[in-house]
Amino acid sequence: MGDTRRRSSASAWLRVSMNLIVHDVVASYGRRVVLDGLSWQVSAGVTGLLGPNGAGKTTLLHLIAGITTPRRGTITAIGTDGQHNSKDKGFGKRIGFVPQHFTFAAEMSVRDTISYAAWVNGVPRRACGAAAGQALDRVNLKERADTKVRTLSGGQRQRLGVATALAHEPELLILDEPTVGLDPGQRLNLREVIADIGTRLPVILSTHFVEDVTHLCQRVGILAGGRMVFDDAVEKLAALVADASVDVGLGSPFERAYAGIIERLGGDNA
Amino acid sequence: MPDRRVGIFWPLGAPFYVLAGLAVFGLTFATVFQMLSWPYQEWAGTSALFHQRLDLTGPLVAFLGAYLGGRLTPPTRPFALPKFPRDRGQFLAQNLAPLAAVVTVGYLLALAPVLAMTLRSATYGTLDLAVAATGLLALNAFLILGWLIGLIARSAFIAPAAFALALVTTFVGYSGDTFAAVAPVLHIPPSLGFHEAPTLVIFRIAFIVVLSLIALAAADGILSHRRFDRQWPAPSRALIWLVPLAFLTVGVANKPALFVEDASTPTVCGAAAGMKVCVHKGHEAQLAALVGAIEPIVAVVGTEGFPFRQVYDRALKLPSLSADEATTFYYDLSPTLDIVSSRSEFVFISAGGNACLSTFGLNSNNDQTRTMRMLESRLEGDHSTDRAGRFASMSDAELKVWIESHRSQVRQCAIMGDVTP
Repeated sequence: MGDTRRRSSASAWLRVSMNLIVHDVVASYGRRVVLDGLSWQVSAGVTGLLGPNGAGKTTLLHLIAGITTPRRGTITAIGTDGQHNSKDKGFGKRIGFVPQHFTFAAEMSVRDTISYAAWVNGVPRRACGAAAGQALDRVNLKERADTKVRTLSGGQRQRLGVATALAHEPELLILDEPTVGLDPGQRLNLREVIADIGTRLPVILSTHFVEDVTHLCQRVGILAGGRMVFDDAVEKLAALVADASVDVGLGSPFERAYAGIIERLGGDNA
Repeated sequence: MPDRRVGIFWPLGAPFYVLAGLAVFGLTFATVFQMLSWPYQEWAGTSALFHQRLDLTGPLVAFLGAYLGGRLTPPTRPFALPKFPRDRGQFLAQNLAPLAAVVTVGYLLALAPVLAMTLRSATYGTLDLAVAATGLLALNAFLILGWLIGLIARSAFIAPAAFALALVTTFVGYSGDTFAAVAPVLHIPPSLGFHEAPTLVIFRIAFIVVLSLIALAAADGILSHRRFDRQWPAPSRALIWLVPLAFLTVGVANKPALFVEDASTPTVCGAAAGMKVCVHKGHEAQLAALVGAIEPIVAVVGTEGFPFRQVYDRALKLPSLSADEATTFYYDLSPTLDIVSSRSEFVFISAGGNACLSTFGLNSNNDQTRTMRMLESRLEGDHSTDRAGRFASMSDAELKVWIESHRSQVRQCAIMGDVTP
């Protein structure tokens, strides 16, 4: 990626082809092993990441975003310009990351928030204004560009978060539970934005809402016991409903399949 | 919607930076405003002003720095995640440089009127650039340290604590010589004829620069190691603070000489009714006023009526100058002192006050002392009988004749009622 693509994308948003390969990754907090020899692959489209609380979803996302480094294993991005290890300098520019809990400086304008995020993520200062404009366009917030962040609704703030992660034109977007706390209308808006982004570049979507996965994702990975216990097309997960013996009462088929997998493979929230 | 380029007050926006600049300007100007009513300025004092006015402005800048750090650097901000691709040096510069420029300009603008007045009125010396640099470097050190506090705290709510902490460092400077080498503010500024000791100035600059660089290095270390959750830093990362700590220890352990004499002490002299009057070149413009203030008194009392033969500017009372102490009266000249109203000691001595003081003590109310007070009032030009008593109605010529005929009694505080007019 880099400035060539950025310059060429003044109006058009080119499709990004990138594969992310997580191989045999081990991560721990002190003596507690959170991820134990985890391997995973992410490619085009929106990939869901499900798992019970404490399964290590956020840890995995932090590893991919380069915020923490694995004790063992590798994370590699394979793009049109070759292979890049997560420990390589400049790897961070390839990733856009929206953490689960984020805050803004309420007195900043929406535009400045995005342009500054673009700059921090490596965009040259003179190009940050244009980068912010494009990111605003992609999350449908252009009409709020010059308003203060404090005036945004919850859904708009979430879309602003996505814009800050998009402005430097990453090759992979990581969203950690972006729909938490949103009302149905806001969630729907955000899903539309994410779905659109997913047609342009790979997106990893960590969520607790199975509706997010069924409506947005082409593939889904389920993390339990420090390992990826399911990694396949969303339809394959739904098809497992017939095998799901666990009783989740009022749950949907998808939820029953998910709960069944977690129970079978060692999760603790079934 | 056109895509705008980012502005100079990016990313917090102009209001914060404009308010910060106005606050620094306003507070600093409020503390120097009174100086503009002084009749003249001296370069020694104006140079020192650059660090002396940090007593409140420094804490304010630390407050602003902490606020900025607390607003822009929490790792929960999407633009300040625990890891980001931007070079950390550039990140620090982008955070600090605009505010540093704003507060420095605000500070300089507030000092500018005094600087201009000094340029216009000072007759000796020039701006001591090293001393001025001490102040500007310390101003920016307050900013960096404040910003570091905001970075560590991850919240702008820490700003009042940064203000209080900075206030302690400036008040420490007022405590005396002990912390002069490391405190931003000195407890006294130099007066004319002296300048801040070069070793002290160099040490202070070195300390401030080292402290600032270590703070920046610490900030860089924090930015490169932090995570979303708070963690205690590795003890090894605290080791860099040993460098400024060493400076601090050396500075406090070795009480420095604050001021040294200027290399030369140019003198300008005149005469007041036959009495030699000399001032420092820096007070050349005040010589005529000084002569004018004492001449009527010398004319009445006569040069032989004084226990001294010459009047010197106190700025000339330097260890290296060998003026005869016994025959010299030192007159205080300062921008804050009115020359005529500060001649009271001179008049007191003219009236024999020193003899009364040594013979009868400070609170004496005997006949001799009361008469001396009357004469003193009359020499000050007071013709009211309440204060000048029996001397009130005398003309200057009559008084001169009377003093000549009672000179020994006046000088010995021995004027009894029976010899008064």
